[in-house]
Amino acid sequence: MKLIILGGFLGSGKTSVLIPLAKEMVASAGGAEDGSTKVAIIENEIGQVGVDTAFTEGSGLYTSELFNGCVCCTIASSLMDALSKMEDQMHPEFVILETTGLARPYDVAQQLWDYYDENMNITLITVVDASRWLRISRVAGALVDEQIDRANYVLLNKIDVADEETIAEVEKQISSKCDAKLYRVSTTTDPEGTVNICREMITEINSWE
Amino acid sequence: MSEHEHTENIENEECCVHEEHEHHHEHEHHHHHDHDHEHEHHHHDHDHEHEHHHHHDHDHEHEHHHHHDHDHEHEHHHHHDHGDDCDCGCHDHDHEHEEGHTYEVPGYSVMETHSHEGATICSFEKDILTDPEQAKVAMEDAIHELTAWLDSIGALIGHVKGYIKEHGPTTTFSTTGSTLNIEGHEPQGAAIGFASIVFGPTEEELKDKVVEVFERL
Repeated sequence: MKLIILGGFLGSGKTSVLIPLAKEMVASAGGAEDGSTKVAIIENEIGQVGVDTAFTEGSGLYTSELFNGCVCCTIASSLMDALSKMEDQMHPEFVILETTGLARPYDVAQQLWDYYDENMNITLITVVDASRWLRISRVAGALVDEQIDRANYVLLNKIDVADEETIAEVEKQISSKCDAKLYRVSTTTDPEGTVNICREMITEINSWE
Repeated sequence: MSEHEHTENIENEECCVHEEHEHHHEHEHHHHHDHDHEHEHHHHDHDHEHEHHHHHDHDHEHEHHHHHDHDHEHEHHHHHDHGDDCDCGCHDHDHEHEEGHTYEVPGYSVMETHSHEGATICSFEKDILTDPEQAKVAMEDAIHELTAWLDSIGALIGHVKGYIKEHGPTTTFSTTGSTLNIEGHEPQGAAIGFASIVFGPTEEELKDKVVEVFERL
């Protein structure tokens, strides 16, 4: 079971990346003709009311919900329970965990390695709002830095609402803080481009076996 | 990527505790050294090692590489062995999280607030009988009013989001043994869900404003 931790600050567009990513994973796994579940999703939301699940509900993908806390701290044990249940009952090839916008993806990975399965195959994908990153960095710099910490991929989203100078500066800052592979995306204006990037990432992730 | 394949880059040793934006954003970055782990200190340059591979051959040794680019110009490599029952605290961090509050607000099935990492969270759920098209307009207006208020008090909007989910048609089944009655029922109303995660207002202030702007729904 491969785990993708999809992180990123509040409102960066994680859920908008989640659906094409999950669908490409299903496609890469050859569909689910045998009735097995190839891809499962865990949605973690900070509020007691889950809003993001309203987006994933219609996708036909199995979604498990973890509300009212953050998996990197307050409800970490719930995540382990959810993963364990998925692994036992569904044997998915991929699990995508969409974290809250306040989570540190690497901390989640670390906890899973330490307390769940030290061999777990985990990929970190962080979504960044290119139009707001510089501002958010000024007020929550430590958090956003840690959200890209050791990410395998950083997707610079919302490039359609940021000017080239801002995007270049964000790329420069992110590149100086982590060695992730950077992609520019616009989930709203270029969904096809997002799909292609998801496909590229999945191909690479699959090659890491 | 697996556990034993990472290099940690920390620019400043003092980053172990972050405080910013008056929110006491405390985060201890995994590393506590008041225990019996083997430590190694090396001097060398920042190397930004980071591999995008997944290897699973390792022993229980866990290595942290800290790279410091400051006056001390040294690097700490910490080697220590972890087991499942490891309680070294190396990977713990103290996220500021306050137990939430739930409120009994007429018309709402859920209304709650809490705070986390300096953010104030308010979410609710309620059923409405308003026509869905009218509800959509009312929802838009309510969110605009809320975000305008947040801007006016200098709050940082993390994310404000919601949904309207129309109730679908329902089919009911009923029998006392001889005949099975099957009836279709037209949908009535919708459910709305909402969550706001913002930096600035208190839980009470945010909850009061949310209730006020959503009064129209």
